[in-house]
Amino acid sequence: MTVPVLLLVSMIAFGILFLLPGDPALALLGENLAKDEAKYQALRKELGLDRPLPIQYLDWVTRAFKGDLGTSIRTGQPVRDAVLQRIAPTFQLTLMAAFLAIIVALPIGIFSALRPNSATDVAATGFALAGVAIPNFWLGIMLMFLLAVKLRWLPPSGYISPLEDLGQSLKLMLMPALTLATGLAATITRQVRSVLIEVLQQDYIRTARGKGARERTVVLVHALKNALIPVVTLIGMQIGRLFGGTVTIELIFAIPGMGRLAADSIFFRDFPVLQGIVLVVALVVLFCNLLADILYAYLDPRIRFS
Amino acid sequence: MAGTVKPAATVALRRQQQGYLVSSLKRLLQTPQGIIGLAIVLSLILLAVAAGGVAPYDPYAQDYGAVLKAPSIAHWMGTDNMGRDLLSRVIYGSRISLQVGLVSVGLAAIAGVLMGLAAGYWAGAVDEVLMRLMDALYSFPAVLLALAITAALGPGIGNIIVAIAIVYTPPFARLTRAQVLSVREMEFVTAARSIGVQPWRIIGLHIWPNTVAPIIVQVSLSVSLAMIVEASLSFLGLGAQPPTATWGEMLRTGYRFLERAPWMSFFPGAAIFVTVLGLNFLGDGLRMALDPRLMQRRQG
Repeated sequence: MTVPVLLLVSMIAFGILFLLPGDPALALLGENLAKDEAKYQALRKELGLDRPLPIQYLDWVTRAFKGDLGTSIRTGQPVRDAVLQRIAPTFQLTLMAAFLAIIVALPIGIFSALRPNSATDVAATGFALAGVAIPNFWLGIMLMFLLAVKLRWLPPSGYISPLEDLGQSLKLMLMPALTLATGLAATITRQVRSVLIEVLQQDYIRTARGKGARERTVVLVHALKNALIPVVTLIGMQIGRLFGGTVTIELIFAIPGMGRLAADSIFFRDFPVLQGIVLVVALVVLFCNLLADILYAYLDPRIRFS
Repeated sequence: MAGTVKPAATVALRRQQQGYLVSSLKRLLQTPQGIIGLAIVLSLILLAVAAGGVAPYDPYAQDYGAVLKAPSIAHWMGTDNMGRDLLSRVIYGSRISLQVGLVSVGLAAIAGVLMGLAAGYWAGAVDEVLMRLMDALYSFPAVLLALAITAALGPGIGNIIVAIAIVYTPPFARLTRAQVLSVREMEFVTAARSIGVQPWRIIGLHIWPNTVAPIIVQVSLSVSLAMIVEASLSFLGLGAQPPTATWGEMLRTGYRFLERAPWMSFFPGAAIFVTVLGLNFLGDGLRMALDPRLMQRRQG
């Protein structure tokens, strides 16, 4: 199941370069040098563009498999190193965002489910609707204006590694992480609410109440345990997507991560780097989905052996 | 004689279809989401169509006597760094957003539905290949894939539309396929097949009408996602090139003047937010209106 998808993912990432008008050699040379026929032919040969497409793909994918993603046009650095250098800030941003989303969304979802249609529930639903609809780069800009420019509570932008100065690192990362977290928090809130409402109507919950278990135990132990199964899957599926959704946020908050690298490589028409990032992010997404599937089977014994 | 019977049957059928349409619309207007969503989306379409008559200023007219002016009676949303009226630019910007959202999702829906119908009806190898391709496409986060495609094709609205159409095809294919699988085994399809009706005729006449409802809902939700992706790409400088007014491009410029003129960032983003909210409401309302069972459960 996953292997054909992996192959197709690599084909799509490979194919992006061939969407360029003309061919990659022309794009690499840029407009000024493109008229130099000898140079163009030499580069075509060097890049192997004179060979049949399937051979080119096989060559590219075998080298990618060994970790060789080509060379950055802008810096001449191997793409693998360029991407690896930028992976840590994006990773930190994604994890902080996922953490914030979970600790905000879980209690809100639980409270809404316990009192459907109460004022709390209506407010929570409003939050969920707004959170899904708000464009996160706009939210980021507005937060920056409010919290950094006007109130001066947080530094506006920049990045420091947590290994260097943990406090400052978390402080700098708080706004971007909040921005990235909003959409996920909204989705989790909705999911927790709807699943928990359904679970609370099950017979075994009535049994638990009937035998005199405390309401807190019924909700937090009996109901939540089952309600969380689809939520865990949802989070697993979304974390990979968060990882790829950082482009605009990293640009706004000046975080030197993979998203920022992607945005920069558009400017410099650095397509090998862009291609490498697209491939790596898709692999992360697939890996997270797989992890979610495994976790799902672990949490729900009913589907473990099917 | 046959000539007189056929039109009557057609008329009856049309009346029945109309009945479904009208009753769906009525049900849509019974849900608060449906009313709010429809109101927002319709006023946006109206605004886009009548932009020339509604906008108080020429969106491209520069006035260097009124640069970076805060919102006032003369300029409700203030002016930008070239003294252009922001309200007029936001109004004109709705044209690009709507155009990109509708055309790209329209293309995605056509491609996805055709693939989903084929995959669901023929199953086997066709199904396997098409669906794995959709899985692969869906593994790429939307903004990143659209960004890579647009960067390769070159900046511009046409290329953004193509990129977004590719990115949002998989949900339509999956949704249609799932619907087809559940309808395919029903007796009226078996009956049609047994009397020798051609596959595409079965698909077009018998299966497709039963798959429409969830696809309409998906269109509404996808248009809102497409608009956010378009704004993100324009924000990154890949959209319509200046001076064309688009919401994403206005945010891109506004961001540079955040400290001096926050209204330049606030209003275009708020326009995107309200539009997306409206489309999501409409989608929720449609979901309930097109599925009478859901409506009854809600009221019951």
